[in-house]
Amino acid sequence: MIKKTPVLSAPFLIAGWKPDAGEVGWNVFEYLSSQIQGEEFAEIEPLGFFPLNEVQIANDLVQFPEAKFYAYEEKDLVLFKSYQPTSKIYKFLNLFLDLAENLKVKEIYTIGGLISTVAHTKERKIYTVVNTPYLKEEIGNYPLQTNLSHEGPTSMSGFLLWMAMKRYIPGISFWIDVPFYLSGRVDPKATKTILEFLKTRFKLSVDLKLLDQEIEKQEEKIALLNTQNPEIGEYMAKLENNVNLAQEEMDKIINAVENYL
Amino acid sequence: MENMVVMHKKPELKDPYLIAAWPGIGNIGLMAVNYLKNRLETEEFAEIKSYPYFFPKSITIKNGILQHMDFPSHKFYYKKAEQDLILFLGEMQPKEEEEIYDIANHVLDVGIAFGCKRVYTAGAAVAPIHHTLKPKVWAVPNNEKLINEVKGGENIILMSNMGEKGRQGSISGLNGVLLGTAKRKGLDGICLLGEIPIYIAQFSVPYPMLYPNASKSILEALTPRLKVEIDLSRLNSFITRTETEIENLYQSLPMQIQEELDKLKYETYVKPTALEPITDEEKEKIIKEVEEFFKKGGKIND
Repeated sequence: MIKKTPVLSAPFLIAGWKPDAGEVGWNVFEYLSSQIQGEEFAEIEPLGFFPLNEVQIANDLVQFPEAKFYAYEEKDLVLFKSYQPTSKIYKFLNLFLDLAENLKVKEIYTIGGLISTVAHTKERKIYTVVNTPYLKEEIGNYPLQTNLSHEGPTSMSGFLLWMAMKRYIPGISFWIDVPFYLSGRVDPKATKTILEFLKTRFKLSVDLKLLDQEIEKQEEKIALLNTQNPEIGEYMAKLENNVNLAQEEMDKIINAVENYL
Repeated sequence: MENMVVMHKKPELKDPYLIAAWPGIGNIGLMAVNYLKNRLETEEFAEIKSYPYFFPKSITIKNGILQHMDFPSHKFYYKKAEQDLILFLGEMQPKEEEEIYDIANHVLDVGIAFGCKRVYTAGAAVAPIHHTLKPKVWAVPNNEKLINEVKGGENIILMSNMGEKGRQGSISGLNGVLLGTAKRKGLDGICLLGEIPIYIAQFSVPYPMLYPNASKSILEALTPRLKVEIDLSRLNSFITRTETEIENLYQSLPMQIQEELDKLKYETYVKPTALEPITDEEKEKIIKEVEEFFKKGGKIND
């Protein structure tokens, strides 16, 4: 449903989902909208795409699925912030692509977290997947991992990228490392790394200081956990030194972080 | 509207029968039709584009470039024989009613394009039977005139053979919708459901149990109708292996449950045996106890 037609010429359209490892996509958009003025102009109505017979409550609030488009006319940018549909996914993604075509979108970007064995203190890498080969050159000058090879399960972003390809709409998926023990919560470091890229790519004036504070807070908490629980501290040290952990050790970290944070 | 069927080849077929199967409980129907497909050395000739109905199975990315997306397959095979055949195998059933109906229509439209007037589907009938008994095949036709045809077939029963409650029942998923849609389009259709003991349908250690015994019963019922003979030796070997696995699981159930389940050895839908058949109340009690056992996590005795 389009509420208003924004003034855009050939915008980039960036999509992020919930749920997502480290809540990266969603959190990037939340942060961006707190810093730069965008306007909601369209949405995909939830009926038929999400289970509506039971409305969830989280953090004392009703959670209702949403799939909304925000325009940043000055930057010729559109953000799509959406819950991941669970039914009629093909139809849902087609509605997204119909709007992308109507807006004469230049490229579609998707943002997502990639569950990884990287330690939370380490630098996060951003991996890219393009649906049109020339896009690799376009992003070649950024600090990105552009040679990922993978054969296996995919995601909503992967499906969207493939459907965009069928419509000849160029697209890139950006995947950022999220430590496996932070996959179920906000990962501010992953959020910041993505925002740094977007800031440079689209010349956005975004202050990332607040995220620095969140990162510091999270790292302090985990450092305290490591001190209070030497076994977890030992496993974390292994991770930081790129030593592979056994599944049991990883499970213990997940449980400890879950209980402690 | 986009044509959802990709035709790789247009074989010349005369009034073919269409036999379709999808995954389901114990993969009984799928295994039967897949076995038939392999033994008859059929040839693939068409497929349904399945991306509107399913989430991709896998993605292939090479050096950062999206190469390929793989979706659950829905393929057609044919065999020219005394009775020409089209076999259809779906790798997954869609979730939404609209999608189920769409796929049923696509499958039938391919059959109709080749002159098909008869359809068979195959699946599972969860029944209060014991695993040492030969599974019967429940036949459910989509029109009155087919009742006499299936009646009295060896090891085949109609719903009405099951006593008072027997005339009613339901077929879930595509097996039922395909037959209903076939009826709308004027095609004869019969669904063959191989019996699987209720407790086997519940076993999931660590994956859902297959039940090739029932697939064999379906094939025995189906092949004479298709005027084909197939070698069942491979299926028999698989049955032997599965029987051992099932027996081991059975022996590891609590003795009390085993004793209750043993009563199912004397169950019969058609007529009472010399041994006293179990009553409906007992049957319900068994089902309830088995369900409770599996609800509690189905911990097997060591």
